[in-house]
Amino acid sequence: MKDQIQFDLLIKKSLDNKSHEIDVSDNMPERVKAAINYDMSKSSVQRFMNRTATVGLFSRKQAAAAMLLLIFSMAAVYNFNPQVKAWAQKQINQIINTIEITLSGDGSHIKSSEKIITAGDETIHVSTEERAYENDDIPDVDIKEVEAVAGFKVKLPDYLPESLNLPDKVSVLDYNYSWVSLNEDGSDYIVDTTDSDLAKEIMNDMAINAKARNVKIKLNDAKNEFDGLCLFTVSNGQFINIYGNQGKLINILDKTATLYENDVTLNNESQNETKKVTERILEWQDGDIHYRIDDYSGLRADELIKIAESIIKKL
Amino acid sequence: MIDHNLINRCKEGDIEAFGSLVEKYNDMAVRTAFLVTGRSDIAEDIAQEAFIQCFYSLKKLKDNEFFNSWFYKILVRVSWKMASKHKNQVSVDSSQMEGILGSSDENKTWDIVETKLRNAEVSKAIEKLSPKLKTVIVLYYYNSFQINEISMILGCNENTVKSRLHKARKKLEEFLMKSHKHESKKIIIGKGVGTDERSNTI
Repeated sequence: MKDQIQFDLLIKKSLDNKSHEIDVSDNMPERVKAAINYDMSKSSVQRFMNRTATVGLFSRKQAAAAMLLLIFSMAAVYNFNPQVKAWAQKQINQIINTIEITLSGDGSHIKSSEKIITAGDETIHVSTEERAYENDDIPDVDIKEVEAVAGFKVKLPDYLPESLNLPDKVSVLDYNYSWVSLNEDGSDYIVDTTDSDLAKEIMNDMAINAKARNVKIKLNDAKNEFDGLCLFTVSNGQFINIYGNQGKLINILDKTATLYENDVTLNNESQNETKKVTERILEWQDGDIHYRIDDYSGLRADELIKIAESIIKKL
Repeated sequence: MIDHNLINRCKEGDIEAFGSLVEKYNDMAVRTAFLVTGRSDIAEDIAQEAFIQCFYSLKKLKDNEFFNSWFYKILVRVSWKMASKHKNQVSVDSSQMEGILGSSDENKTWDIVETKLRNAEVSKAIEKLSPKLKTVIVLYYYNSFQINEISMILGCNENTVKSRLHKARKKLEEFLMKSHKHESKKIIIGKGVGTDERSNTI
């Protein structure tokens, strides 16, 4: 116990010493006030662009995306000009609106939504991630309420292998954090802001209309692919096929599903680790609704098919 | 102590009041950003960005009591993001070893030198932790946040915080054990202390 206290004191003292290796200038209040005053004098789109410049552009792709945003912004600013707006709209090949609701193993909840815009070779993500609450702080809602948000029925599996579990409660939460990025994992982002109203305003300015919605439910406690995530997704829009036609067609009851099996190397940047796993993705369509299971936990193909069967069987 | 009046004025868009709030939190915010990222060159930019985000979203903070943890949540996220964006840039930070070597003249006792060396070792060991573990250590030991507050800042369960804290301590102990054996040899050798350790921190 004594050793532990001494060790704690050592850590505390060391951090305290280290913290004084940096000189803190006292002009921060003025810098912040000046930046805010400058922001306030601009339109929302200009504010956004200004913030982009503040954070800095780090790649050609980001520069291109920022340019694209500028084009959209111009279209929004000059929205009285139908030709300009039509031209900007034409640049957008595909827009996907995603709502992701996850129940993590520790009982906290996260809801995030995302717009994916593809224009030419570029893909831009506009994302909002909502606060994760502890169990006691939020009202739990069931899948019916999720369906109400998504606007379509979500059929859940009756069968799951022992390693997976299906949350029967999820939560719909308020906005907390937003960002615009190029990559899905946010690693190549343009700008982030906690002002979700601003993010929404930008999306509105960009004249984005949602075309598809996804409900994503984690089937295990893994946080991400590296940890062995198994993710179940239901959507009223077609999934993006990133593997071309390499999938294997499989008949499951009266449906035709596609199975993608790939050996992939996953990176965990924070731990500086990599590992090789087999990624299995099973997709199928049921009426107008698309279903998909992404597995990195090592489930066999026959187990995925059995899960799909239990979903297809349901009315 | 939370200044409710000040926060309420900031919520109403009073920029002067926000300036006062920045003044109050600036020092701790910059130093925390520095400790979390290990980057002295971007610590002020991180704090500035966090303050600006704070201004725009402050009206959404329902209970002023939670301002501290709410603000640090923004700060930590901005720190992680900006550190990740700047990870390919090299930050030269040799002040730590210079501080030790500069003070280790013959008039100082070995106790003082050894204490400083221990601090430097711990500091280096903390630098080696993953961002998540390092952040928990900084929030707990430097900012003196409670476990439940850290769970709010990081958006994770209290048990997760406890587990990270435990894991971080274990890792620090391991690093220090290795480092201590290494340094002991150098202290015995004497005058060579730290000279080959003058490497830049990235």
